[in-house]
Amino acid sequence: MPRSTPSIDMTPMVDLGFLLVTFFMLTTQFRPDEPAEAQVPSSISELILPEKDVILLTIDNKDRVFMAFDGQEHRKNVLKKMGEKDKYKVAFTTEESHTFSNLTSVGIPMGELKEWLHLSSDGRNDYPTNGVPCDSLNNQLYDWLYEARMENPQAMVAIKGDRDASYKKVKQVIKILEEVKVFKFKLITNMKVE
Amino acid sequence: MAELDTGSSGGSHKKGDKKPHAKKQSTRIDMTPMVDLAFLLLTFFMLTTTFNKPKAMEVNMPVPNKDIKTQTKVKDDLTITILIGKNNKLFYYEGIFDMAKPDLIQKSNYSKDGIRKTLINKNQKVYDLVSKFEQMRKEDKLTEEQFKDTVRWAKKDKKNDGIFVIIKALEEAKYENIVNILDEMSICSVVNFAIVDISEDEKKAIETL
Repeated sequence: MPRSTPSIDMTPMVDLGFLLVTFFMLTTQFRPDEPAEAQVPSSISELILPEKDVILLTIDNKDRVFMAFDGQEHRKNVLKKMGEKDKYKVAFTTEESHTFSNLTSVGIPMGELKEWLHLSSDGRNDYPTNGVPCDSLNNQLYDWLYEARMENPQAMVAIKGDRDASYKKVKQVIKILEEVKVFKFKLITNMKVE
Repeated sequence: MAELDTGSSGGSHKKGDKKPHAKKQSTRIDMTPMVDLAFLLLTFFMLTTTFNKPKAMEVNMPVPNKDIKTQTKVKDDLTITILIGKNNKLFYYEGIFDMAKPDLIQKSNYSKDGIRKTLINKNQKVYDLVSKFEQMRKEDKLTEEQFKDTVRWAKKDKKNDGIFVIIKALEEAKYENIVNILDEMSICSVVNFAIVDISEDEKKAIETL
Protein backbone atom coordinates (compact mmCIF):
# COMPACT_ATOMS: atom_id res chain seq x y z
CA MET A 1 0.00 0.00 0.00
CA PRO A 2 1.34 3.40 -0.87
CA ARG A 3 1.64 5.84 1.91
CA SER A 4 -1.37 8.13 2.03
CA THR A 5 -2.43 10.90 4.33
CA PRO A 6 -4.89 9.60 6.94
CA SER A 7 -8.30 10.85 5.89
CA ILE A 8 -11.86 10.15 7.02
CA ASP A 9 -14.70 9.95 4.56
CA MET A 10 -16.69 13.03 5.39
CA THR A 11 -19.38 12.53 2.76
CA PRO A 12 -22.16 11.40 5.18
CA MET A 13 -21.51 14.32 7.45
CA VAL A 14 -21.56 16.76 4.57
CA ASP A 15 -24.76 15.14 3.29
CA LEU A 16 -26.36 15.62 6.65
CA GLY A 17 -25.08 19.17 6.81
CA PHE A 18 -26.69 20.04 3.52
CA LEU A 19 -29.88 18.30 4.49
CA LEU A 20 -30.09 20.46 7.59
CA VAL A 21 -29.27 23.59 5.60
CA THR A 22 -32.11 22.80 3.21
CA PHE A 23 -34.45 22.10 6.09
CA PHE A 24 -33.68 25.32 7.87
CA MET A 25 -33.79 27.33 4.66
CA LEU A 26 -37.24 26.06 3.89
CA THR A 27 -38.74 26.25 7.34
CA THR A 28 -37.13 29.43 8.54
CA GLN A 29 -39.10 32.51 9.26
CA PHE A 30 -37.00 35.44 10.06
CA ARG A 31 -37.42 36.99 13.39
CA PRO A 32 -38.96 40.35 12.65
CA ASP A 33 -36.91 43.37 13.55
CA GLU A 34 -38.53 44.67 16.66
CA PRO A 35 -37.82 48.11 18.01
CA ALA A 36 -38.90 47.23 21.50
CA GLU A 37 -38.22 44.08 23.36
CA ALA A 38 -40.83 42.64 25.58
CA GLN A 39 -40.35 39.70 27.89
CA VAL A 40 -43.83 38.27 27.73
CA PRO A 41 -45.36 36.56 30.74
CA SER A 42 -46.17 32.87 30.57
CA SER A 43 -49.51 31.14 30.55
CA ILE A 44 -50.97 27.73 29.82
CA SER A 45 -52.79 29.00 26.77
CA GLU A 46 -52.12 27.06 23.60
CA LEU A 47 -53.81 29.31 21.09
CA ILE A 48 -51.46 30.12 18.25
CA LEU A 49 -51.34 33.63 16.93
CA PRO A 50 -52.00 33.85 13.19
CA GLU A 51 -49.16 35.10 11.04
CA LYS A 52 -51.17 37.47 8.92
CA ASP A 53 -53.68 40.21 9.65
CA VAL A 54 -52.44 41.05 13.10
CA ILE A 55 -52.16 44.46 14.65
CA LEU A 56 -49.53 44.03 17.29
CA LEU A 57 -49.25 46.45 20.17
CA THR A 58 -46.01 46.06 22.03
CA ILE A 59 -45.69 47.58 25.48
CA ASP A 60 -42.14 47.39 26.74
CA ASN A 61 -40.83 47.57 30.27
CA LYS A 62 -40.51 51.34 30.06
CA ASP A 63 -44.22 51.57 29.26
CA ARG A 64 -43.61 52.65 25.69
CA VAL A 65 -46.17 51.58 23.13
CA PHE A 66 -45.23 50.41 19.65
CA MET A 67 -47.67 49.43 16.99
CA ALA A 68 -46.96 46.97 14.19
CA PHE A 69 -49.25 45.87 11.40
CA ASP A 70 -48.59 43.91 8.23
CA GLY A 71 -49.20 44.32 4.53
CA GLN A 72 -47.13 46.75 2.45
CA GLU A 73 -50.15 48.24 0.70
CA HIS A 74 -52.02 48.55 3.98
CA ARG A 75 -49.09 50.33 5.54
CA LYS A 76 -48.80 52.79 2.67
CA ASN A 77 -52.49 53.62 2.78
CA VAL A 78 -52.57 53.99 6.54
CA LEU A 79 -49.57 56.30 6.49
CA LYS A 80 -51.18 58.44 3.80
CA LYS A 81 -54.43 58.71 5.72
CA MET A 82 -52.61 59.56 8.92
CA GLY A 83 -50.70 62.33 7.14
CA GLU A 84 -53.91 63.75 5.70
CA LYS A 85 -55.47 64.24 9.11
CA ASP A 86 -55.99 67.87 10.05
CA LYS A 87 -54.14 67.61 13.31
CA TYR A 88 -50.99 66.17 11.78
CA LYS A 89 -50.84 67.58 8.21
CA VAL A 90 -47.76 65.72 7.11
CA ALA A 91 -47.29 65.06 3.42
CA PHE A 92 -45.19 61.96 2.88
CA THR A 93 -43.24 61.53 -0.33
CA THR A 94 -43.42 58.27 -2.29
CA GLU A 95 -39.97 57.42 -1.06
CA GLU A 96 -40.90 57.95 2.56
CA SER A 97 -44.03 55.91 2.23
CA HIS A 98 -42.03 53.16 0.56
CA THR A 99 -39.56 53.13 3.44
CA PHE A 100 -42.45 53.02 5.87
CA SER A 101 -44.12 50.11 4.08
CA ASN A 102 -41.00 48.01 4.46
CA LEU A 103 -40.74 48.56 8.20
CA THR A 104 -42.68 46.64 10.76
CA SER A 105 -43.66 48.97 13.53
CA VAL A 106 -44.25 52.54 14.54
CA GLY A 107 -43.21 53.94 17.84
CA ILE A 108 -42.73 57.55 16.92
CA PRO A 109 -44.97 60.57 17.38
CA MET A 110 -46.38 61.86 14.08
CA GLY A 111 -44.36 65.06 14.30
CA GLU A 112 -41.04 63.23 14.23
CA LEU A 113 -42.05 60.48 11.84
CA LYS A 114 -40.87 62.18 8.66
CA GLU A 115 -37.44 62.85 10.06
CA TRP A 116 -37.25 59.34 11.47
CA LEU A 117 -37.98 57.77 8.09
CA HIS A 118 -34.91 59.41 6.61
CA LEU A 119 -32.57 57.78 9.10
CA SER A 120 -30.61 54.62 8.41
CA SER A 121 -31.99 51.43 9.86
CA ASP A 122 -29.53 51.55 12.76
CA GLY A 123 -30.41 55.17 13.34
CA ARG A 124 -34.09 54.27 13.44
CA ASN A 125 -33.50 51.58 16.03
CA ASP A 126 -31.43 53.86 18.22
CA TYR A 127 -33.75 56.83 17.91
CA PRO A 128 -34.80 57.96 21.37
CA THR A 129 -38.54 57.69 21.56
CA ASN A 130 -41.31 57.39 24.08
CA GLY A 131 -43.43 55.24 21.81
CA VAL A 132 -46.69 56.22 20.18
CA PRO A 133 -48.35 58.90 22.32
CA CYS A 134 -51.55 57.50 23.73
CA ASP A 135 -52.66 59.78 26.53
CA SER A 136 -56.01 61.47 26.35
CA LEU A 137 -54.63 64.84 25.22
CA ASN A 138 -52.58 63.48 22.38
CA ASN A 139 -54.10 60.19 21.46
CA GLN A 140 -52.21 59.20 18.33
CA LEU A 141 -52.56 55.50 19.05
CA TYR A 142 -56.30 55.86 18.59
CA ASP A 143 -55.79 57.36 15.12
CA TRP A 144 -53.32 54.69 14.11
CA LEU A 145 -55.60 51.93 15.32
CA TYR A 146 -58.64 53.49 13.70
CA GLU A 147 -56.94 53.81 10.32
CA ALA A 148 -55.36 50.37 10.52
CA ARG A 149 -58.73 48.84 11.34
CA MET A 150 -60.45 50.75 8.54
CA GLU A 151 -57.78 49.60 6.13
CA ASN A 152 -57.89 45.96 7.16
CA PRO A 153 -61.06 45.11 9.10
CA GLN A 154 -60.18 41.43 9.49
CA ALA A 155 -57.04 42.26 11.41
CA MET A 156 -57.11 41.10 14.98
CA VAL A 157 -55.44 43.00 17.75
CA ALA A 158 -52.81 41.40 19.93
CA ILE A 159 -51.08 42.96 22.90
CA LYS A 160 -47.52 41.95 23.60
CA GLY A 161 -46.77 43.32 26.98
CA ASP A 162 -43.59 43.06 28.98
CA ARG A 163 -43.85 41.35 32.35
CA ASP A 164 -42.87 44.56 34.05
CA ALA A 165 -45.11 46.87 32.07
CA SER A 166 -47.45 48.67 34.43
CA TYR A 167 -51.11 47.84 34.51
CA LYS A 168 -51.79 51.55 34.19
CA LYS A 169 -50.43 51.59 30.64
CA VAL A 170 -52.10 48.32 29.72
CA LYS A 171 -55.40 49.66 30.99
CA GLN A 172 -54.94 52.80 28.94
CA VAL A 173 -54.27 50.75 25.81
CA ILE A 174 -57.26 48.50 26.45
CA LYS A 175 -59.42 51.60 26.89
CA ILE A 176 -58.27 52.92 23.52
CA LEU A 177 -59.05 49.53 22.01
CA GLU A 178 -62.54 49.80 23.38
CA GLU A 179 -62.84 53.24 21.83
CA VAL A 180 -62.10 51.79 18.41
CA LYS A 181 -64.67 49.09 19.17
CA VAL A 182 -62.23 46.27 19.67
CA PHE A 183 -63.60 44.22 22.53
CA LYS A 184 -61.93 41.00 21.61
CA PHE A 185 -58.19 40.84 21.53
CA LYS A 186 -55.30 38.56 22.33
CA LEU A 187 -52.57 38.77 24.91
CA ILE A 188 -49.34 37.21 23.75
CA THR A 189 -47.75 34.86 26.23
CA ASN A 190 -45.11 32.19 26.41
CA MET A 191 -45.79 28.58 27.14
CA LYS A 192 -45.51 27.93 30.80
CA VAL A 193 -42.80 25.49 31.77
CA GLU A 194 -44.03 23.69 34.82
CA MET B 1 -13.38 8.20 -14.93
CA ALA B 2 -13.13 9.58 -18.41
CA GLU B 3 -9.69 9.70 -19.80
CA LEU B 4 -8.52 10.98 -23.07
CA ASP B 5 -5.74 9.30 -24.79
CA THR B 6 -4.31 12.16 -26.69
CA GLY B 7 -1.54 10.09 -27.99
CA SER B 8 0.52 13.18 -28.30
CA SER B 9 3.13 11.77 -26.04
CA GLY B 10 5.19 10.11 -28.56
CA GLY B 11 7.71 9.12 -25.96
CA SER B 12 8.31 5.76 -24.40
CA HIS B 13 5.65 3.63 -22.67
CA LYS B 14 7.09 4.39 -19.29
CA LYS B 15 5.95 7.96 -19.54
CA GLY B 16 2.46 6.94 -20.64
CA ASP B 17 2.10 4.82 -17.54
CA LYS B 18 2.76 7.75 -15.28
CA LYS B 19 0.37 10.17 -16.86
CA PRO B 20 -3.00 8.53 -15.94
CA HIS B 21 -1.87 8.46 -12.31
CA ALA B 22 -1.30 12.15 -12.27
CA LYS B 23 -4.70 12.78 -13.90
CA LYS B 24 -6.59 10.66 -11.40
CA GLN B 25 -5.28 12.73 -8.53
CA SER B 26 -6.41 15.96 -10.08
CA THR B 27 -10.09 14.85 -10.20
CA ARG B 28 -10.39 15.11 -6.44
CA ILE B 29 -11.73 18.54 -5.64
CA ASP B 30 -11.04 20.05 -2.29
CA MET B 31 -14.51 20.40 -0.87
CA THR B 32 -13.51 21.97 2.42
CA PRO B 33 -14.53 25.56 1.52
CA MET B 34 -17.91 24.39 0.30
CA VAL B 35 -18.51 22.41 3.46
CA ASP B 36 -17.37 25.36 5.52
CA LEU B 37 -19.88 27.52 3.76
CA ALA B 38 -22.62 24.96 4.20
CA PHE B 39 -22.07 24.82 7.92
CA LEU B 40 -21.87 28.56 8.11
CA LEU B 41 -25.29 28.75 6.47
CA LEU B 42 -26.56 26.05 8.75
CA THR B 43 -25.51 27.98 11.82
CA PHE B 44 -27.00 31.17 10.42
CA PHE B 45 -30.38 29.60 9.74
CA MET B 46 -30.41 27.78 13.04
CA LEU B 47 -29.85 31.00 14.91
CA THR B 48 -32.24 33.21 13.00
CA THR B 49 -35.16 30.85 12.80
CA THR B 50 -38.06 31.22 15.17
CA PHE B 51 -39.56 27.96 16.16
CA ASN B 52 -41.81 28.70 19.04
CA LYS B 53 -44.69 30.56 17.51
CA PRO B 54 -46.08 33.05 19.98
CA LYS B 55 -48.95 31.73 22.00
CA ALA B 56 -51.84 33.96 22.76
CA MET B 57 -54.59 34.24 25.29
CA GLU B 58 -57.93 35.55 24.24
CA VAL B 59 -59.58 38.34 26.19
CA ASN B 60 -63.10 39.57 25.71
CA MET B 61 -63.99 42.88 27.21
CA PRO B 62 -67.65 43.54 27.83
CA VAL B 63 -69.38 45.70 25.27
CA PRO B 64 -70.76 48.70 27.14
CA ASN B 65 -74.36 47.90 27.91
CA LYS B 66 -76.56 50.53 29.44
CA ASP B 67 -79.73 48.51 29.28
CA ILE B 68 -80.26 47.27 32.84
CA LYS B 69 -82.89 44.74 31.85
CA THR B 70 -80.40 42.64 29.92
CA GLN B 71 -77.78 42.70 32.62
CA THR B 72 -77.46 39.41 34.41
CA LYS B 73 -77.95 39.22 38.15
CA VAL B 74 -75.18 37.48 39.99
CA LYS B 75 -75.55 35.61 43.26
CA ASP B 76 -73.47 37.26 45.96
CA ASP B 77 -72.24 34.04 47.49
CA LEU B 78 -70.86 32.91 44.15
CA THR B 79 -68.82 36.03 43.62
CA ILE B 80 -65.13 36.41 44.35
CA THR B 81 -63.35 39.68 43.84
CA ILE B 82 -59.62 39.49 43.30
CA LEU B 83 -57.59 42.57 44.14
CA ILE B 84 -54.17 42.85 42.58
CA GLY B 85 -51.88 45.10 44.55
CA LYS B 86 -48.41 46.42 43.96
CA ASN B 87 -45.23 44.41 44.65
CA ASN B 88 -46.91 41.16 43.62
CA LYS B 89 -49.42 41.34 46.45
CA LEU B 90 -52.74 39.65 46.02
CA PHE B 91 -55.99 39.84 47.95
CA TYR B 92 -59.47 38.54 47.51
CA TYR B 93 -62.86 38.72 49.15
CA GLU B 94 -66.10 36.87 48.73
CA GLY B 95 -69.46 38.51 48.26
CA ILE B 96 -70.03 42.21 48.59
CA PHE B 97 -67.41 44.64 49.80
CA ASP B 98 -68.08 46.27 53.13
CA MET B 99 -65.84 48.88 54.71
CA ALA B 100 -67.15 47.95 58.15
CA LYS B 101 -65.81 44.44 57.89
CA PRO B 102 -62.07 44.80 57.41
CA ASP B 103 -61.35 41.10 57.90
CA LEU B 104 -63.40 40.32 54.82
CA ILE B 105 -60.35 40.83 52.68
CA GLN B 106 -58.06 37.82 52.66
CA LYS B 107 -54.43 37.79 51.73
CA SER B 108 -53.38 35.40 49.01
CA ASN B 109 -50.57 34.77 46.55
CA TYR B 110 -49.88 33.55 43.04
CA SER B 111 -48.66 30.10 44.02
CA LYS B 112 -50.46 26.82 43.52
CA ASP B 113 -51.75 26.84 47.07
CA GLY B 114 -52.74 30.46 46.92
CA ILE B 115 -55.49 31.87 44.81
CA ARG B 116 -55.77 28.71 42.71
CA LYS B 117 -56.79 26.61 45.69
CA THR B 118 -59.36 29.19 46.74
CA LEU B 119 -60.87 29.39 43.29
CA ILE B 120 -60.97 25.64 42.75
CA ASN B 121 -62.58 25.09 46.13
CA LYS B 122 -65.24 27.62 45.36
CA ASN B 123 -65.72 26.40 41.80
CA GLN B 124 -65.45 22.72 42.75
CA LYS B 125 -68.45 21.43 40.82
CA VAL B 126 -67.48 22.95 37.50
CA TYR B 127 -63.81 22.15 38.02
CA ASP B 128 -64.53 18.48 38.76
CA LEU B 129 -66.81 18.16 35.77
CA VAL B 130 -64.32 19.77 33.42
CA SER B 131 -61.46 17.59 34.73
CA LYS B 132 -63.65 14.53 34.31
CA PHE B 133 -64.40 15.45 30.71
CA GLU B 134 -60.75 16.16 30.07
CA GLN B 135 -59.88 12.71 31.37
CA MET B 136 -62.54 11.15 29.15
CA ARG B 137 -61.20 13.09 26.19
CA LYS B 138 -57.73 11.72 26.87
CA GLU B 139 -59.11 8.19 26.91
CA ASP B 140 -60.88 8.95 23.62
CA LYS B 141 -64.33 8.37 25.07
CA LEU B 142 -65.41 11.76 23.80
CA THR B 143 -64.86 13.31 20.43
CA GLU B 144 -63.41 16.80 20.27
CA GLU B 145 -66.84 18.15 19.38
CA GLN B 146 -68.59 16.40 22.26
CA PHE B 147 -65.86 17.47 24.62
CA LYS B 148 -66.30 21.11 23.71
CA ASP B 149 -70.06 20.89 24.09
CA THR B 150 -69.97 19.18 27.47
CA VAL B 151 -67.39 21.61 28.79
CA ARG B 152 -69.48 24.51 27.61
CA TRP B 153 -72.49 23.01 29.34
CA ALA B 154 -70.57 22.41 32.57
CA LYS B 155 -69.39 25.99 32.64
CA LYS B 156 -72.66 27.62 31.72
CA ASP B 157 -75.30 25.56 33.51
CA LYS B 158 -76.54 27.44 36.56
CA LYS B 159 -77.00 24.22 38.53
CA ASN B 160 -73.26 23.76 38.62
CA ASP B 161 -72.78 26.91 40.68
CA GLY B 162 -70.10 28.35 38.44
CA ILE B 163 -68.47 31.28 40.19
CA PHE B 164 -68.15 34.85 39.05
CA VAL B 165 -64.80 36.47 39.42
CA ILE B 166 -64.22 40.20 39.38
CA ILE B 167 -60.65 41.23 38.81
CA LYS B 168 -59.58 44.62 40.08
CA ALA B 169 -56.04 45.83 39.83
CA LEU B 170 -54.18 48.80 41.21
CA GLU B 171 -52.52 50.91 38.55
CA GLU B 172 -49.15 50.10 40.08
CA ALA B 173 -49.67 46.40 39.48
CA LYS B 174 -47.54 44.69 36.91
CA TYR B 175 -48.91 43.39 33.66
CA GLU B 176 -47.55 39.96 34.52
CA ASN B 177 -49.84 39.80 37.55
CA ILE B 178 -52.90 40.41 35.40
CA VAL B 179 -51.88 37.72 32.93
CA ASN B 180 -51.25 35.30 35.79
CA ILE B 181 -54.71 35.88 37.16
CA LEU B 182 -56.30 35.52 33.73
CA ASP B 183 -54.37 32.29 33.39
CA GLU B 184 -55.75 31.10 36.72
CA MET B 185 -59.22 31.67 35.31
CA SER B 186 -58.62 29.11 32.60
CA ILE B 187 -56.87 26.74 34.98
CA CYS B 188 -59.77 26.87 37.42
CA SER B 189 -62.38 26.64 34.63
CA VAL B 190 -63.93 30.00 35.45
CA VAL B 191 -65.78 31.45 32.49
CA ASN B 192 -67.49 34.37 34.10
CA PHE B 193 -64.90 36.94 34.92
CA ALA B 194 -64.46 40.61 34.27
CA ILE B 195 -61.73 43.17 34.67
CA VAL B 196 -63.13 46.16 36.49
CA ASP B 197 -61.67 49.39 37.84
CA ILE B 198 -60.86 49.36 41.53
CA SER B 199 -62.87 51.57 43.88
CA GLU B 200 -61.35 54.12 46.25
CA ASP B 201 -62.57 52.21 49.30
CA GLU B 202 -60.97 49.03 48.14
CA LYS B 203 -57.75 50.86 47.39
CA LYS B 204 -57.69 52.19 50.94
CA ALA B 205 -58.50 48.80 52.40
CA ILE B 206 -55.62 47.01 50.75
CA GLU B 207 -53.15 49.81 51.25
CA THR B 208 -52.78 49.01 54.92
CA LEU B 209 -52.60 45.26 54.44
